[in-house]
Amino acid sequence: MPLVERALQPVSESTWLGMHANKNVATPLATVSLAQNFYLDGSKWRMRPGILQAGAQLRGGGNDIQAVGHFQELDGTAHTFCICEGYLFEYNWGTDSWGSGTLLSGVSITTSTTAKLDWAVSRGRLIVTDGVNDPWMWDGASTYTTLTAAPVSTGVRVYYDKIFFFGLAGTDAVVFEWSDEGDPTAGYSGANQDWQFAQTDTGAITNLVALNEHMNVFKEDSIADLRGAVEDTFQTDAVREGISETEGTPGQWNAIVVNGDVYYLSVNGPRVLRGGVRLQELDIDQNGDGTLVPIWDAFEKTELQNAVAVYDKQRKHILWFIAQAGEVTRYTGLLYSLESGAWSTLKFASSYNFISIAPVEDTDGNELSMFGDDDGNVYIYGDAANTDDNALGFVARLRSRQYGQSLALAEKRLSQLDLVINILAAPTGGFRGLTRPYINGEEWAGPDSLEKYFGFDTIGRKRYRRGFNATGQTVGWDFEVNALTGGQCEVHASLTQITTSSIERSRRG
Amino acid sequence: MTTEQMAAEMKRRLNRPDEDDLFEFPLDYQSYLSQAHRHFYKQTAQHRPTFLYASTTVASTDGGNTFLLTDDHYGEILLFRDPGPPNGRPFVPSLPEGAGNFWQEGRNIRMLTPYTGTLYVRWIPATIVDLDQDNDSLLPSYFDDAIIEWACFLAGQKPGFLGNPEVYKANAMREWSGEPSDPSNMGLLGIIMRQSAHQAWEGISDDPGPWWRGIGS
Repeated sequence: MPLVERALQPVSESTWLGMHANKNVATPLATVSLAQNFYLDGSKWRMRPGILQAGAQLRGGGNDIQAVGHFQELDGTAHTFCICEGYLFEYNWGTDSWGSGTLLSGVSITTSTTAKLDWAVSRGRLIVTDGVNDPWMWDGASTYTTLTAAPVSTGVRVYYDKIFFFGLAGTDAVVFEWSDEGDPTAGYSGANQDWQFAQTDTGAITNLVALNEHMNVFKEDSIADLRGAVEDTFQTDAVREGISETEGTPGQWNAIVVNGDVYYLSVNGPRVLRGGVRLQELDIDQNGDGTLVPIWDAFEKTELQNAVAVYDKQRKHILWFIAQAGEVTRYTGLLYSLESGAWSTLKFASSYNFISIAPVEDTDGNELSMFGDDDGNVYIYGDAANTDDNALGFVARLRSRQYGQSLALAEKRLSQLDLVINILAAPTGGFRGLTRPYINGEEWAGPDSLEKYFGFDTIGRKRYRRGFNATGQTVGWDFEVNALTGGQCEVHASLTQITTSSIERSRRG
Repeated sequence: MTTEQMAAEMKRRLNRPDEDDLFEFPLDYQSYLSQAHRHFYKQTAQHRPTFLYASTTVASTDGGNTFLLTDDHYGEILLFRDPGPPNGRPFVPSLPEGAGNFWQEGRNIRMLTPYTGTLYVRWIPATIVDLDQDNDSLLPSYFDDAIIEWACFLAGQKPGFLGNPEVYKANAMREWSGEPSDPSNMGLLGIIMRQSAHQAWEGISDDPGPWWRGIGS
């Protein structure tokens, strides 16, 4: 009974369905176990757009970008701004530069020079709050107004033309207050426009999300929905509905509203509130299997209150940046594609720490995003033509699902991989990528696993083939592109060939 | 073909990619080619040993009775007195009734009576070079296809190879012994037997010097 090597049916995967990272369940055909810095575009995996620094480093570096954003005045004048070390800077898209900046204390605004800032726009005015001092308001020109009537709070939202503040200190953490209609300077608790919101959950309000006719009140472990117009007696008029008593959110920066649905992070995973009222888990597949299990496990849940989110309108992606377990800096995260419902992960160099991110619009109307870091740098994300700065070393990685069953009787051998890739950008020196086996759920540390880069000098559709000789109970492959040498590509299809050894039994006829 | 060209051709026939962990190019290919080369060398030694004659030194071990060959051999040996072939008189293997001049004992050549002149020998040493970047096939160029196919057959048996190695084996055998369904195709065996019928002294060495060599007793 000799050992016979048999070639199994080749696994052809071309219409990709998404990422299924859970190793404990059989992953469906045409999924990958990791899509890092890739996203599902139709049926192909495409590298995410690059990020490029906007202008120069601000304030000599070393300071958080406290806020970044974009708003329009009533006359349509647009401002792309950021705040760093107490200076308000405006970005000039034409010259790719930040202005000289306005020292806020120089215009009689007292504001923290370090705290992260929340902001909202009401009737063409920027309203900013830092959680330490009175909120303030900027008209886009030269008028800065301290909102002395408003509470010191970490969060600001606009609902029914009223300005809502939440995240008050101490026992008032359970209270939110709102202004008079369209007037941020008046109203609030002095006019009994406050609500001590402690029905079944007396915890602090962690976020308010305003929809068209709803406002969701988030606490760490619960969500309530308020409905109706805001009048002076909103406390008693509003229609209330408890949405959940288990799923809330610890932070105010991670919620994104798209088409009336609220996408946010609960401690248990990413969630969506459809229409603000129906709670759904986002990280499960049709079989009810968690698709993100090991990835979600790797995030630091105690840092979730600082997670930040932005919506990439061009691609219909939600980007979340969340600290890795044991860390506080945010250079990793999740990317959720609303079109395909597919997940992927974001991973930048670990030296990055994105503090504030927001959607912006360039002068041509292109919807982009800006990421502000903890070192006075702001980056632009979302321009398809951008590849990452060389300095922003990162690895885009596509890892196949695991073929075979762990603890199986017969070992598999990864024999050959064919990849069909479309090179979108080949930098000087050509596009470069590498493949390596992924054996028994571990990165392959075999000979030459790191050095075997392959390259293409021209853009267009390419086929790459590599023979492997790596065995394990489960086998798979990694495809990597390094920003330093890489370029941009799409992965259209793979053909994975596997052989297995089994004992040939003689047959009696 | 050079060994390098044969390795490249082998890679093409096995349909291997440039990036390949299963077979390292060209070292693994050279190893299989060396093995296949030895295979056809042995095949040829069986059917037409004279084709492979080479000359080499023989170590003398005693006063002219015993001469030691430096390698294993295939048994076909021609010995000559001075001045060597083709003019020197050959020694004749001894016959049962005692006639003749020498017999073989393994690697030893035993002379019936001591011989003190220079002994010239034609024989087939069993050890041949491995094919690598410095050494090409010793066999004629028309053996190249057979060697490549046999090397592919050997390579194809490695666990993890996706194709069917038996195809290469069948090709190599057809190269060697001809096409069974085509009686006019007698393969390499036919060629070398045909040559044998027309050639007298022969050898495949392409050394510029004589193919015999004198051996001091």
